[in-house]
Amino acid sequence: MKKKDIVIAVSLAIMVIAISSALYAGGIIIITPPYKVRDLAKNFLRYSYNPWNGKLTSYALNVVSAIIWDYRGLDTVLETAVLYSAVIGITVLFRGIVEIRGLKHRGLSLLVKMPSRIVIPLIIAVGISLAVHGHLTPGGGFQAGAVATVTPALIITIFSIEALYVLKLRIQKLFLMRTIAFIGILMISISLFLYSLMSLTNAYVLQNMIREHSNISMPHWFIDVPLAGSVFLYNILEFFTVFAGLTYVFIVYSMRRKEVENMWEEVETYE
Amino acid sequence: MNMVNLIIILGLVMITIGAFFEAIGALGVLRLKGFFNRIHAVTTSAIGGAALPLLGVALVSAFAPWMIPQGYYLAGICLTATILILLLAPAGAHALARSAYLCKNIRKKFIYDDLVEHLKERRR
Repeated sequence: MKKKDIVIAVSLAIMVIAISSALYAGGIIIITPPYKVRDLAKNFLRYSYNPWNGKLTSYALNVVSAIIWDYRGLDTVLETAVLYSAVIGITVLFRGIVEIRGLKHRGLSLLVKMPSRIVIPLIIAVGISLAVHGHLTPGGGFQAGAVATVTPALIITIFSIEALYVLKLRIQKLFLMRTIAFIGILMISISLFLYSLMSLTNAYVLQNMIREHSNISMPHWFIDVPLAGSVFLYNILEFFTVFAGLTYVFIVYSMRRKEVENMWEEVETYE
Repeated sequence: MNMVNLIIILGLVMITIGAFFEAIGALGVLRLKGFFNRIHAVTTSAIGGAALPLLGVALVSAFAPWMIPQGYYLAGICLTATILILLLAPAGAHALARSAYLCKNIRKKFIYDDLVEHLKERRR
């Protein structure tokens, strides 16, 4: 027992010293990268916000959002599709669950309920602001959806799942919302292409701003704020997709016994 | 010595007291026996070691002349974080303590337990 304590203490001390020396290394010895920006980074910065050259920019101040939704947009659409199909897998596994209202529920004590009543709207506000500001500040659609999904999880643990039913967050509604948002992402990705077919000009799939051989673009300026065209729309739709999908998973995983019982009968009819 | 210097010194004193509380909390978690004694130490360091130094940082950054434009943002963030910690740290500690109390193994070691009668009455 004594030896173990000493080992834990020494290893913790080494970890603290290592982290602090790594944090302060820039001031003492130079192991951090030099302050000069590399050419690759310069290119990324230039292509994400460069209003002086309209053909090589996406008007997104947040470089990560510009990369994710503009130059590697196809990859991100496929990632969203992966999440979408994963939730479909869960739906297939939990075939035949029914939501029953009015079962016995209590939740945690009043001392926990009151502060969470104050905090839950704040969490939703943070999530929405991350989604709406995703192209200007750090954040983005997926992160915003994940932050907003904390609220159903908190409501389920603190007030019980019955409170979600009172808020009208039903399974079918979430599924519909998710599907509509995902179809919206797909439609926006091909909208400029369809428009170009109608107006006899050139355009690419997943195009955002003006490019070399095409003159049409998404709206890129909202009054005096850069609105990164499709990046903004994608962020909001991705927020809805992720929020609805993850909330669906949370609700399904925290069903009560009586709601799940019907599942087995459904399975037996298939066998 | 003018007013601004006094306020900055007050903020620094608050940060130092916070460090003291943090050390006390760590010592308590290491040395005290049993769940409830330990959670007492942890909550002490959550309020004294997180909320108090954040208030100190807010004071320093709001009044220090060398960080005038950015200091206000930092002060606002610190105040918000303080309010959230004051709201949520007791709630989290209460939820932990309640679930630990409802677990019967921990309750066996108690010398005196007044809540048992209350629980029995509530069950009837």
